[in-house]
Amino acid sequence: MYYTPPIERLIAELARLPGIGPKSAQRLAFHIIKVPLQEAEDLAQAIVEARRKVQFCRRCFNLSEMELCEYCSDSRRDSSLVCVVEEAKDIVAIERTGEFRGLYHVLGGAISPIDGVGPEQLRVNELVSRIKEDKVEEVILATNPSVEGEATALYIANLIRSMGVKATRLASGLPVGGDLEYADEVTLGRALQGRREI
Amino acid sequence: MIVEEIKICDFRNYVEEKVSFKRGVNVIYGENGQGKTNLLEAIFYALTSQSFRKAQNSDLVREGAERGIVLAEFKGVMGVKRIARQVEGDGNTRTKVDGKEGVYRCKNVVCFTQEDLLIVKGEPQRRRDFVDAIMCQLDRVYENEISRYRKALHQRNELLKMIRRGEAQERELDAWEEILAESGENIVAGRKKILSAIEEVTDRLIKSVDESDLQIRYYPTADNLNTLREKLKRNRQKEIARGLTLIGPHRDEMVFVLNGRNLRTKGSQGQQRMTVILLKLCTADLLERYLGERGVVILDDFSSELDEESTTRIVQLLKKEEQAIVTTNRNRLGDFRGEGWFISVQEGRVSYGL
Ligand SMILES: Nc1ncnc2c1ncn2[C@@H]1O[C@H](COP(=O)(O)OP(=O)(O)OP(=O)(O)O)[C@@H](O)[C@H]1O
Ligand SMILES: [Mg+2]
Ligand SMILES: [Zn+2]
Repeated sequence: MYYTPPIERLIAELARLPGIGPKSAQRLAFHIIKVPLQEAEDLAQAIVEARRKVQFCRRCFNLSEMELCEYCSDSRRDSSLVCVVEEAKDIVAIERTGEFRGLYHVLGGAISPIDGVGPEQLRVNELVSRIKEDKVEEVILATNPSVEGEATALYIANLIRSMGVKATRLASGLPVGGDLEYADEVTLGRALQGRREI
Repeated sequence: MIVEEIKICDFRNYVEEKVSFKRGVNVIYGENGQGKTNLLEAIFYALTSQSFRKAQNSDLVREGAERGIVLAEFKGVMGVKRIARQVEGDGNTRTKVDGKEGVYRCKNVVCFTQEDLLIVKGEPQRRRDFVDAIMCQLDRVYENEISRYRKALHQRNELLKMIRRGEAQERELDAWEEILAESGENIVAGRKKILSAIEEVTDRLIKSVDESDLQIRYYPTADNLNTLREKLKRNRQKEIARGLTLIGPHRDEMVFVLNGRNLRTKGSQGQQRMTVILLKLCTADLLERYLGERGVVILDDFSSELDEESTTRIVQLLKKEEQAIVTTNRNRLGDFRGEGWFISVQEGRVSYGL
């Protein structure tokens, strides 16, 4: 069964989004054509605006409207302390704890050979050059408490220890196999304070 | 725990049937192909939401029917529970617990099928899986460790292949090996602990039936973090060439030794079967210690290959169970000496008595 071309196109575009299969794409498309025109325009505009205005921070690869994100441009923050996270959304989780006054570095994922992701696919080299240039003294590896997050932390720790920089890992207590973004702030705050060297 | 009644509808060769069970030994008997195993499977499925055969959900639905339903009513320390499970022809399932949509997976059931003979007769994998499954039920941390180890192993194997193809660097192996060594050490320690408990309990059970002596020998490929890490590093070139991790708990061997002889290579059919059945009763013991309640013991056709003497001894042990539900061929009914609750099965219909 074929729909009229504009709907076909909308379904095809939606189906390219992560986590959206052909069936959900179809459902979303039919929802969209039924809403008032204004609502559809707002959605389209929000998508374009977000895509146009948001970029990766030049230094830490957080999402930002500026070249430097709000943390990197805040001179009160301690630039000798860098917290490494998998995704930008993990920064939100750590900020919520109010325990951290350093800067961040977003890797863009975790090492996972079965998904074809190695250190080259992540922002590891960028981290290494940043450590050299910004006189970083301690790197906190706050990757997810999953096997892949753990391997990523170990890989980076090996790398930066040889540069004479202290590498620490969040203390255990986070739910194993979980996601940083779902950890509650008290647990995460405690994990930050109790970090240990690896 | 005691299963009191099950209702079966369009499940395997059953159209519609209600079967009641009693405390103590329940004997399901009948000719070949009448539905004895299917009835046990229905009980097991109702309790655990799994089949004990290598079956897909859709195999459970009676041929020609749209969906199968099993209802089980059982009684334990937490009171009476009613579980209803529905399987659709397309494999989709639904569960109701005491009338409300939900999830339920009963841990306290121990089951023997012919497939389990492979615990003794089969590849080392079978023994590892048997031991790990018990340990996982008793220890959440161990369960986590097994899953962590499996994931890391899968990742390292993939990385080995990538290195062989020149798509990754050898130093990327370090991190995975560190995880495997740490987690491997915990798994080996867990296995040592559970194996000595299994050995103790099963040996005691064996001594209660005859003069035999059972030992379980465990041969880990490496038994602590440092040797595991060392061996992984030393074997890298070989493993890169194979694209496979050859050292670690996933390669460990466990040997059952009955009266000084390897049961797998030198045991008789009867000795092998007897040992596996006793290992299952031992599992019931270990689960009871942990869950604080004796589970249901289910044995499918346990007595074939066993002589009258051995069968009688097992029956004696079964009489001590809170509830045992077993199947047997009509011509082996004598083994029970008329003691128990007898359920006859004929073409998917049941009747009671001898
Ligand atoms: N989905 C199904 N629909 C209909 N019949 C089925 C289905 N699955 C299995 N059967 C049939 O059920 C019958 C009984 O099987 P079951 O394994 O319970 O026999 P049994 O009484 O244990 O026999 P045995 O003594 O040989 O072990 C078999 O003839 C089998 O072909
Ligand atoms: Mg059978
Ligand atoms: Zn930044």
